[in-house]
Amino acid sequence: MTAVEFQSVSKRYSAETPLAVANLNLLCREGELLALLGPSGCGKSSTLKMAAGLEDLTEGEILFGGRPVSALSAGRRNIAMVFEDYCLYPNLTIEDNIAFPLSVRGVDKNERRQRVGDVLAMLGLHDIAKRKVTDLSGGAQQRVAIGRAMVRDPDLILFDEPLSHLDGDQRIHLRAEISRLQKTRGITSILVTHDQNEATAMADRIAIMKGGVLQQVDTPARLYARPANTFVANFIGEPPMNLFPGEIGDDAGRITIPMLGEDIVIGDERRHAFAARRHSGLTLGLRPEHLIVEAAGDGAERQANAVVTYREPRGDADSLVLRILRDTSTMVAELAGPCTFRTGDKVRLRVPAANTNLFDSESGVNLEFDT
Amino acid sequence: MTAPLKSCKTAADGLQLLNVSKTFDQTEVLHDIDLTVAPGEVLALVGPSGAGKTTLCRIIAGLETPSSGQCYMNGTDMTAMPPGDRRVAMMFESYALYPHLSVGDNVRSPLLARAKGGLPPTAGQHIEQLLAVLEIAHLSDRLPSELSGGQKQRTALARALIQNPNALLLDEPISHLDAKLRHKLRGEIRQILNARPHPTIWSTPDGLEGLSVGDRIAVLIAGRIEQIGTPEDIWLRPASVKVARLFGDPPMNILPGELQDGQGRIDFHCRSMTMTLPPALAASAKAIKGRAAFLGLRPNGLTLHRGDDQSAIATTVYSIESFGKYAIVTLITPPGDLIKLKTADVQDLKLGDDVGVRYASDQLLLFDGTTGRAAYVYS
Ligand SMILES: Nc1ncnc2c1ncn2[C@@H]1O[C@H](COP(=O)(O)OP(=O)(O)OP(=O)(O)O)[C@@H](O)[C@H]1O
Ligand SMILES: [Mg+2]
Repeated sequence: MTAVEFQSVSKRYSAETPLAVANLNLLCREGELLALLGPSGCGKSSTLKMAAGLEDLTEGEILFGGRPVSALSAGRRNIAMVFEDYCLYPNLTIEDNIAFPLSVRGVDKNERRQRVGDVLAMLGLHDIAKRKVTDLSGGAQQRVAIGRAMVRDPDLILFDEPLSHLDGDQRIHLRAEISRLQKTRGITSILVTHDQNEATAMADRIAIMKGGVLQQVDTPARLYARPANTFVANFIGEPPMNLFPGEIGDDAGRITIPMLGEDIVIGDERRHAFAARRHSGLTLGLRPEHLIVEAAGDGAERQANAVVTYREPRGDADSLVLRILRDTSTMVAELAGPCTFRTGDKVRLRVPAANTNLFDSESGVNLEFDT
Repeated sequence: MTAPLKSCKTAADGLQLLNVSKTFDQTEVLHDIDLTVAPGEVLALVGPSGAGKTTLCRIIAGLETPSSGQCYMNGTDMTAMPPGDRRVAMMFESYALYPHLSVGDNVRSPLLARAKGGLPPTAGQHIEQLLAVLEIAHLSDRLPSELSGGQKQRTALARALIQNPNALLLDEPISHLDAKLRHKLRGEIRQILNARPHPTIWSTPDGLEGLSVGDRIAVLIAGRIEQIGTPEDIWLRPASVKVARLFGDPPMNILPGELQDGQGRIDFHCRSMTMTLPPALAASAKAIKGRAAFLGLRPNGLTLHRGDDQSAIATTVYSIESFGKYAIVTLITPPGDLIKLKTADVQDLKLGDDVGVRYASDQLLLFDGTTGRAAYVYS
């Protein structure tokens, strides 16, 4: 068990390209599972490869349990890795692949059998333990790779997209099993993933990166409820949070939403957040599941302010892309599915004040974010 | 439930597979596949890893020969046609980018292969637009080795989408991207495909992605088509336990048990509970020959209740996964069945709490315990 600390770490692949990782300061606590999440190309894998010793640091230092490791080769770091394209030994059986790290270290036969048996059972590979790994589908191969990493209780496990080739059922099963095992054995782990559900389900904390720069490190619940800035707000949550302009009205907490031609009133307890900002711009954030969508028409009674341009069924929920009639901007709503709205339907949208997030439009900073 | 095409003639338009099977070293990986994809249609091919999705795509592209059966394109048998003559564009799950070509040249390559006297003047602009939609325009001059995983995937996707083929095959095209970009690209790629005249197959292990992008969905499990239908069909009336388990996050709970006839009613009995079937389900229970049955409980059709409640299933909270807008609560019954429930509110729920679970009767499904097929009555 080891804490991992990135101290002012930067990575540049070549003189022509921008920094892949820029001045990263990040702590993965002892026994914690920390997820790195961010858009494609933001530097997640680069960060992990530096921890693994597979890429050099351009600047900074990485500490394992307080000790600098950048001078240590990958083989001397006592870490296990599960990468998306991590290779198994093709000529060995499943069992022998998993046993390999133990055999190399001379663990005795009985203990080896016991530990390999545990891992096989956990991953549902018991019945096929004697098969060659080349006969397996990608998903099953990945389970073997995870088993091989887990079997020898390393100080640190680094996962890069370990579940991305598995189907939903296996994924949900395996993510629960990995995190149960990780928690019970208390192995410090860093997980790189593009899948926020995976990060949320498995991680104690999530670090969000964008263009090589760390944006926020927090528990999944805090990231969802109080994103530090508009980037995190719009990145976390599926479909993404709606962001739209608001204008601060009177002192009673009234905010006008020009695109809907509507006002909302922010309650007393939240008003201080923008009390002093009468004339600067405000960006409102509203999660799609909070946007209220009602059937509407052309008449004065419940007049339409938007039209459904695209409906995406998602099983127990449907997401609707809506074009605002006033200015043709778009919003996304999520309703219980299957819903009755169809493309072309006219609707009336309402914004519930209590569910809004308030951001400074220039800096994008959440006005109610306290660290 | 395969469409009954065997006796009828081939479809004049679009892509059609008739009785396609494929065996590798005595293992049958595809069994008697019948499938049609109409011009302009997007068929989502959903199946777990190893189901045969990639093999099916490779057969259509001409990279594998079926052991039996035929492939037709617009009414013409192309089973024996070499890949180069089929004009089928395929995006590979493994990307298969040319390592020595830049992103831009990789995307341009299929056009160059086809163009006799150079590219049409509009080609450059098309490529630029497409790269912009996929958010990789700034990487145009990079080599594949200088890209992240998701950037490679989008380059391969662009190379497939730039073509104007007879059929387009996308094998897990957006699996490596984050939720936000996936959400955006599902919509944008659908709009691109809506304007296209060719059939498209979009393969994915993610059931929800299939529901979102497919005009119809074909569910492929262990080399067999389990069901073909619209997103609503698949979601509301999955044809089997296997299909039900592929769709939904988390998937439907399935409890094995047996049917017991009472006076004027049918009970479903399993080790965790006994329940009198609501009338609609009791009617479908008649379609089940034996006594064995599976009861399907949708995670979002369940509610939690504290205190004594005879009508509720007794459980203990086993794990709680919180996702912001909802949480998945896993409950364990005294005999050890796990039941997952999706709820917006888990306030003051703790591991180890004893709670009752109630079910909405319209969120229950019944399956034959022997065959795993769904039992429905159609009114
Ligand atoms: N070997 C390399 N040479 C040059 N640039 C590279 C190299 N590897 C990665 N990059 C660039 O560095 C940046 C970060 O890449 P990285 O692989 O860390 O991203 P990522 O967050 O893991 O993305 P993804 O989710 O797409 O896998 C990207 O812009 C990428 O193009
Ligand atoms: Mg990566």
